[in-house]
Amino acid sequence: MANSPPTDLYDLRRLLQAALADDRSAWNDLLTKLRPYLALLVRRRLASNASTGLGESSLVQETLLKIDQHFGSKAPEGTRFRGKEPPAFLNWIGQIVARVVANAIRDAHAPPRDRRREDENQGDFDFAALPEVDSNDEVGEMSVRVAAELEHLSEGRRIVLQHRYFEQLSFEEIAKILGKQPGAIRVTHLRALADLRERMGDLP
Amino acid sequence: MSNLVAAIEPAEAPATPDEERLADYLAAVSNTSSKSIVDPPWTDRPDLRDRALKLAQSVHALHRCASSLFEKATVTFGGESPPDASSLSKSISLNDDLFPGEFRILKKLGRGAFGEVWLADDLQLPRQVAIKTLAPGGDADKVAKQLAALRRDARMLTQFRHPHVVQVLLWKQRGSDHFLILEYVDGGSLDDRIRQEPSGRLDWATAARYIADVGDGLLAVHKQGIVHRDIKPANILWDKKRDEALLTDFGIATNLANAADYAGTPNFMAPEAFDTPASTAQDVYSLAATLFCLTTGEAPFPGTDWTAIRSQSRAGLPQPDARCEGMPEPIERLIRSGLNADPEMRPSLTLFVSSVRAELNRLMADSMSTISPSTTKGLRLAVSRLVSGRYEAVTSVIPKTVPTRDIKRVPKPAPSVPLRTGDTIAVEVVADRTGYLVVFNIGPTGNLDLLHPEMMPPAGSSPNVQAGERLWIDGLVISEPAGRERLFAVWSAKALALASEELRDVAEPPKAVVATRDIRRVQQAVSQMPATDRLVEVIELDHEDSAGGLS
Repeated sequence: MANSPPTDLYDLRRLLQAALADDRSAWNDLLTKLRPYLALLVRRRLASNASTGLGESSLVQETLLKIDQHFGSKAPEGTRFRGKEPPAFLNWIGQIVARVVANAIRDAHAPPRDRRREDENQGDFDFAALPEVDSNDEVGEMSVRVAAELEHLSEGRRIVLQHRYFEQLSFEEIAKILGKQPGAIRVTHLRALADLRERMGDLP
Repeated sequence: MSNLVAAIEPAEAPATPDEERLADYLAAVSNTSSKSIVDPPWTDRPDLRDRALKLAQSVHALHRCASSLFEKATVTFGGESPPDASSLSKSISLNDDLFPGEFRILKKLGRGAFGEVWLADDLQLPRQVAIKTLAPGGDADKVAKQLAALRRDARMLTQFRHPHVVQVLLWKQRGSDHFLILEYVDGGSLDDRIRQEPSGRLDWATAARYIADVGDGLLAVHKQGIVHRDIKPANILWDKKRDEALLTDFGIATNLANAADYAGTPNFMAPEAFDTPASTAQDVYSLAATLFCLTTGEAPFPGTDWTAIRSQSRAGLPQPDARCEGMPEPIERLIRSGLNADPEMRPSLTLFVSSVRAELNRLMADSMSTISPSTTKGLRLAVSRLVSGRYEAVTSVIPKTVPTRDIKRVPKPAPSVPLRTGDTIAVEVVADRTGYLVVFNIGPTGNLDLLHPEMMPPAGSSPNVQAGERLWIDGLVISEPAGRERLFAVWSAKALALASEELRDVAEPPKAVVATRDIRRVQQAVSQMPATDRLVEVIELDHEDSAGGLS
């Protein structure tokens, strides 16, 4: 059976390959597209570490900075991103998010002496190491698009979907946070799904 | 931020009746990340039903995205939780000759939370081994203590042998690097295995056998004072040639996890394991969760972060749970008891493991009775009870089933005979044709005993029963523990390809009784016979203790 060509669900492959060829404009477009996705990744990672009190947007910014520092021909040889395809790239930035958030949590809780040690250990952060990944990670690429489309929903509907799926809260918990009845949250959930489907069409 | 949104956003318009229906349906769909979508039962409104199903697909797409995000943000360098940064540089390669004259490194098998696993040739013995690099993170004092604890466990485990536990062979140190040399098990993990299965899961009988087997191994290791605390499909290896499961990674998660993290994998961890010391009740939970996962292809509570998983596991499995459809009721019941959120309400590890074995063996016996053609009634199996010096026939009944039983694709239950502990019974078997007759009993703890004849008839021996000849086995006393047993008779045209020695893994010493914990060989031998050359009859002996009230 012939191999099917890799999909390019959100123009990620084209932008990534152009960025790898040092097209700065494509790189900026790619980072812009990724920003909502990074925000979800950071939120997801923070949700696993309750009560950190860390700012989501500053962590997204720091992640973007790290990605930019270690991508492309200007990056140091030993720490450069060496993949070529979106799945490896998404996996790579997932690792960076995990590391950035983990370091931020440690910094927030560790005594000053330990913080200094972490700073000294930054050199051990191996950005170049890559796990083996599926060559056609459609779900990962779809997630980038879902994250972007969520930004276009009304804030109330977006927050219900984020709480429900990306923070795994129950309808009762969401209702409590938003000060509404669970029945009303279920209706908002329905309408948010309908909006998302209208924007994205049939999800794979 | 959310409260602010509530204040500034206009309220949603009131829902229409159709929206109410859809909202409730989708809320229910969103409560599970199961791949199967339950159809809304709205035959009167196909338009609404179509809309519901399309939106349900969006729900599942969102679950998949959330799951992918979680993996990307947490799964680091090969499949498990991110190790401390300082450990990432520790690695070995094909060019390293770390163990000259002892082991030659061949290839990397995988990477875990605390290091890598490599395949190597043992240069002194004709075998291959797995070499695990150990690279815990944290400050030097803590690492030294963690490694010392692990080394103590490893030293103990090198003296330990169990057919369902991966053997620890050696502990090696090169400079500041530490290595565990382990028995190499070809076949990957059960996690790999279910991923490779087209159905994404194992059949319930295979899954239950693996769990009963590794449960036996776990019990034996517990006696050495070592806990596991990270039982999951990825930590059970599959010996492909023998089709056996072996538990691995004892103590590694417990000893090497950072204090800030919990040791274990959240989807398979008991809710109390997040904040209480390790206990055997946690291993019961993890075994039950692993059995559920192997049988359904999904973790019982497939949330993507520990707060969600903990809240799901406290709520318990839904009742009924559509994912359990292909699972026999007794196995589902055992899983539910093992997943009880209250550790006090879970069965002990011993009880859980022996119950899985017992239910498995009883169900296997039931499934054998379906092997014989249903129209053939050439074999009769009956039970009589001794009353006032005379044997009186006991009428069998078809056991009552619970409602969900009807939807399950599992063996038909055997007819049941009510008895009490202390009863003396006789078993009567009559075949209407000449051949070979063997009678087994599976006790309440799952042991399979050969009741007749004393030894399995060898190949080429003369038939041991004539057409119409009555076999009468009397003086059998129903003893404790109370419970459900299976009595089954097998008639075959030729002697079963099964030697007594193959069934003697329980009663020792002396090996006078033919008894086993694993009835696979019996099932294999029976199923090898042509359908027209075999008959199987099964009866359940359901005995309560003498205070049980049965008259």
